[in-house]
Amino acid sequence: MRLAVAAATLLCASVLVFAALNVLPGDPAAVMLGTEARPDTLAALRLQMGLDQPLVVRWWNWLAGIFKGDLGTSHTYGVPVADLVLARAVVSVPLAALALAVAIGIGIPAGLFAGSRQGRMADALTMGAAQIGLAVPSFWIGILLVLLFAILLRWLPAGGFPGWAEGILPAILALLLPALALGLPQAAVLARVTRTAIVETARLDFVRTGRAFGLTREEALRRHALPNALPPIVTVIGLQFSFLLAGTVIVENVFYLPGLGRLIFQSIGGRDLPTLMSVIMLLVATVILVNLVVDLALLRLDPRLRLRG
Amino acid sequence: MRWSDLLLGSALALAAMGGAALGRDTVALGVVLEPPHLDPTAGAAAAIDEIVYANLFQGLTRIDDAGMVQPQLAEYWTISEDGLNYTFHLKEGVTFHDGSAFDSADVKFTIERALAKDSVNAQKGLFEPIESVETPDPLTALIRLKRPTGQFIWNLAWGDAVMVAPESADTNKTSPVGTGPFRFEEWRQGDRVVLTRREGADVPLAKVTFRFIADPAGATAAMMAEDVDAFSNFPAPEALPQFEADPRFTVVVGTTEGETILAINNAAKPFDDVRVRRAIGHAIDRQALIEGAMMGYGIPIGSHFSPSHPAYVDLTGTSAYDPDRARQLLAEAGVEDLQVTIKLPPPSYARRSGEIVQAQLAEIGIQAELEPMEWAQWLEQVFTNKDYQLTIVSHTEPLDIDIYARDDYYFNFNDQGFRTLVAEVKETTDEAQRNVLYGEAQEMLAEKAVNAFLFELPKHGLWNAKLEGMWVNAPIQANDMTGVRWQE
Repeated sequence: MRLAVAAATLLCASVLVFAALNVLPGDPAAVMLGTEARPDTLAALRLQMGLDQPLVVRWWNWLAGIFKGDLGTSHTYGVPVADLVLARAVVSVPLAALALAVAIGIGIPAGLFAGSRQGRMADALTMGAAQIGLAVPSFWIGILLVLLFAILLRWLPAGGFPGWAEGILPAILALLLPALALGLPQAAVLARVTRTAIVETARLDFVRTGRAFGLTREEALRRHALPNALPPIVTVIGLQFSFLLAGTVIVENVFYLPGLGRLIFQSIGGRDLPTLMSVIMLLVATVILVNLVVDLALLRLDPRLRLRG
Repeated sequence: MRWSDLLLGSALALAAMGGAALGRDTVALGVVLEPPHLDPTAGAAAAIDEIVYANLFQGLTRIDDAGMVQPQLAEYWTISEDGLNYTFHLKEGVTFHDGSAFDSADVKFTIERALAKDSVNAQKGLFEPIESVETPDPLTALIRLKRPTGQFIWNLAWGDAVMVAPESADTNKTSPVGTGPFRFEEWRQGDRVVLTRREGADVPLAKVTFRFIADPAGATAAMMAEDVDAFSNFPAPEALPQFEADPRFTVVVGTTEGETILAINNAAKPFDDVRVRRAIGHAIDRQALIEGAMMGYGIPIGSHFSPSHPAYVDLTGTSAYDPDRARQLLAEAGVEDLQVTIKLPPPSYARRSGEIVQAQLAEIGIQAELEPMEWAQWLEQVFTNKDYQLTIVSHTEPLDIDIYARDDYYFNFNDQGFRTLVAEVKETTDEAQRNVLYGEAQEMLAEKAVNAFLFELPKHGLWNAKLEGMWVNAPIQANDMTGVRWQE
């Protein structure tokens, strides 16, 4: 049932994406030729690009292509979109994963720390830091990180991506600052959600029972409150994944990383519709898949959902 | 992995990064725009020439750093008395990167390909005067023209006229094969293009990496961290003072061929009245504009011509800043409470200039609304459909005053007198005479106030102080790396 809904959502998305992008003003052929374009050159190029065909035919060809595993040819680069997307995904997916690790690795401990000291100075300070993390945009954090770690200390590269072929370590080092820029605001969100979940769960009976059996407050929170507070946290992590993917557009530009986010940005500017449509569909599919995974994870975490479902 | 291993690894990686900068026969050059492909004969994008011109592809002639035409694959040439037949004597022993020989058959192929009906050469106009190409022997190419063409040798020096081979022309977009001293190594889309020195080529650099960095903050960081060695045109002029103060870097502001104009739709009311157009010209304080929008870099212009060209005439006086005169002209034309829209393409020079022009027009009672747009939108609405009143854009092609003589060009300036003059310039082979005619053409455009001419776009050169041989000016949109070297 859940799979059928996901498939239907994908199909609807394909129609919407195609329709929306093809009504954008701006002729892809004109963009390629620029201000020196002459009418005959433009006509020749439009023919070459298949832009003379009616919209419906172009949509059908695109859809048929997807089922055959052919995502089309990029207008901008003239290479298969699938190759292009793959080459970019090996930058963006590790970046998003690393950012998520930053968010979870900092956000959950910080939330737990603040929640277990509710109302005390430590709580106020942690939540104050989280508030700042929420207010400051990723690109600004990125610029500050570059200033400190790349320009002043010269520990890490200011941007760019050496490629995985150059070794795992240089690649990870290149992704470290962008992952921090991307992950820190999400860590702030996660810290707040975790804190709230802990504070609410701590009031419940089983934590009190735990205390009565001789556990310290911290132990009771970690052993009993945290597992029970997980469902809302997992839901938020699922949501954050989409935010992280969207956030790559900005962060990849600041750090000039050749990833999917930058590909979207370039494809819009260059009216590279085959590439744009494919990347957006890929992101839609990823978000749907992540939601599915989150649903399943929640079922495992909370047996009550299973009974209802 | 233990912590000590990780630290050691990091140290090695850092050493490797530092070491790359000490290699001293490689250069990483930052460029703002990534080219769509690498075939300069099949696209107008300046970004293509910025990578391949002179480095990878060569033409019969080339343009040097002073904007002068020099022999390249043609050692020398003779021109018949009537100016119709050009005989090119080709250099001996030239080969393409794939090993095939370069001869007159390639010249014939290249030119006929550019002229073909299905050609997507963006500068077809350059080849239009050509009647035929003959190949008396492998080292001689005879080009016959339909009519004398003054700039023909110059035309052949454009990136759009570089020599290609029949064996490789179709795949030049992704794996270009030329005759230049650098060969194509790798293109990581979205990241970099790498060129390496061809075996036996007489150039100091073994490897040139072009890295695509569009974001001004990213460009500043990349230079500061010495991840890249140079930007021939740095995209963050506001950061230049910081680099000027740092002895690690050289900052050189040069000239380009980019005339930045407030383009006026001459067919839209009330701009069809020359008095209104003149009023707009007098309303603009160019010096204030250059200070405010360009951090003080840029040369004021009064017509559509580059100040670095010998035929340049300073006509800034024709539309000197005079708001009283502007108001008077508007009154004479009977224009009151004028509300206009200025459509602005994405480059920062356009967006920033727009804000200052808006304020200056308000001084003479014209309320301007700014409408920022993407390139694709701008090309469709303004350039193709001519659906605009005012727009700000830089025309970066060299010697492009002839755009005012084109049919259906987006200024909607239709003037028979100007067209006759441009036709005459094109047929004049004597340089001194041609320059006189160019002068007249500039005066005519200034007099008719076709557009409001703002400033010549500067070229913000920024590179490592130990790097020599980078071009100061940009007479053509190219980064000729053949003479670039590291100081000992």
